[in-house]
Amino acid sequence: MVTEASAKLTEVAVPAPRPVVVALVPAHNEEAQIEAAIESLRGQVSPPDLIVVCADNCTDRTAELAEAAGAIVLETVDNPHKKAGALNQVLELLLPLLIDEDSVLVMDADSILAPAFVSTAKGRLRDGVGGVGGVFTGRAGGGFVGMLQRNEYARYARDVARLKGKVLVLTGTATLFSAKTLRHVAWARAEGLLPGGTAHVYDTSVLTEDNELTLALLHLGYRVISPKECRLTTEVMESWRDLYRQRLRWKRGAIENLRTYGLTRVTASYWGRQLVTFFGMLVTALYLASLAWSLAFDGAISVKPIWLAVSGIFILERIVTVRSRGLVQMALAATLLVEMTFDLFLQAVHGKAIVDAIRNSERSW
Amino acid sequence: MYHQGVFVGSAGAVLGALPFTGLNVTWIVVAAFALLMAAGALWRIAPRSEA
Repeated sequence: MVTEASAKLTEVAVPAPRPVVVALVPAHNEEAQIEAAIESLRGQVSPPDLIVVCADNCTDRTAELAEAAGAIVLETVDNPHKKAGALNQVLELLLPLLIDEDSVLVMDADSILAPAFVSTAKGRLRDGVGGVGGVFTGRAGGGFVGMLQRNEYARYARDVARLKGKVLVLTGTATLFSAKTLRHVAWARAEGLLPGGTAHVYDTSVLTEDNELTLALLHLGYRVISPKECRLTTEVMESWRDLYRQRLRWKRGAIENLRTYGLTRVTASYWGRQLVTFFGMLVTALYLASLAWSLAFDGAISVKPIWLAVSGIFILERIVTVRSRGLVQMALAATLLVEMTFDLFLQAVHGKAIVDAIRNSERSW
Repeated sequence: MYHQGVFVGSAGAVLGALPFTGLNVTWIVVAAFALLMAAGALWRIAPRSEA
């Protein structure tokens, strides 16, 4: 890729006036989605000055379609490191062409940005902000399991809005970084100030490169935000099996990232959340076991008013937090049992992720 | 990947009942966690500016 791609970028990547925004879209066999992603970039109130699609080991028409849609296509060479490796290959060529004030929008090929995404993100990328991420909602599809994910994402968007854009992770769905910040990260890795060991932006040894990069930015003293105006849609997993794989990767990746960074001022709150989640799993298991015990040995479950009241609070929380999804979803949430399936599923995946991380078992994703 | 809600585990406190089984320590642990999660739920329900 190096010679041809470098020439391509050199020719077009430095348009005047500066600063510029370069959209970088890593794509592995994304022929079904790449055109929509590029179209959403072109439809921005403030469109990127350059759209680069990084075609990584594609065996479909991703590159052809992206080029036809007006993007510059760079194909990776000898990249065994999936998305992180693909991004590193392009950034290695791109960053030397950019000035500090330029910015890079890293965006998944299955994301579709709202028109104000780039303009809002550009405006917020200042005053110590290392990256401006998006707030995503799930697209249609996937039946029951898709619906559960859309509810989950709607609640996430509500949480982020209520926290004024404060987030734990700059997700790979779409995030804007300044060129200066990305160079800082690569330098810090080379100097041993951050994990990774080489002068690259992304650590290719991890399962969740977006989560790792967020931790890297926070350890370098940057803040991270996701303004509610930076909206986008992303695909949902269409089967329980796919969802299991996705969440296992996310959860294990997050645990391993924390293990790599250890207990620091930055990671303390992340470790705290992990502990609460772990404790939640234990409590759920205890609760279900005690229910079984009651039924088996007492033949009945005694109902106490205080716990009915507590259950009422949980029901209300489920209803209120999914309001943006409409009345049907609110009614469904009111039953609790439907969404509890999802909670139990996620807890089981989290348990597996913990075991896999501890055992350091082979990764497959 | 993103915000991990502290409500994982909240499912353990629903169904309208926490059985008293004679397992006192277990019961107390479950109850305490359920109340903590309920406090979190109230916080999430409370109206708050999203500006």
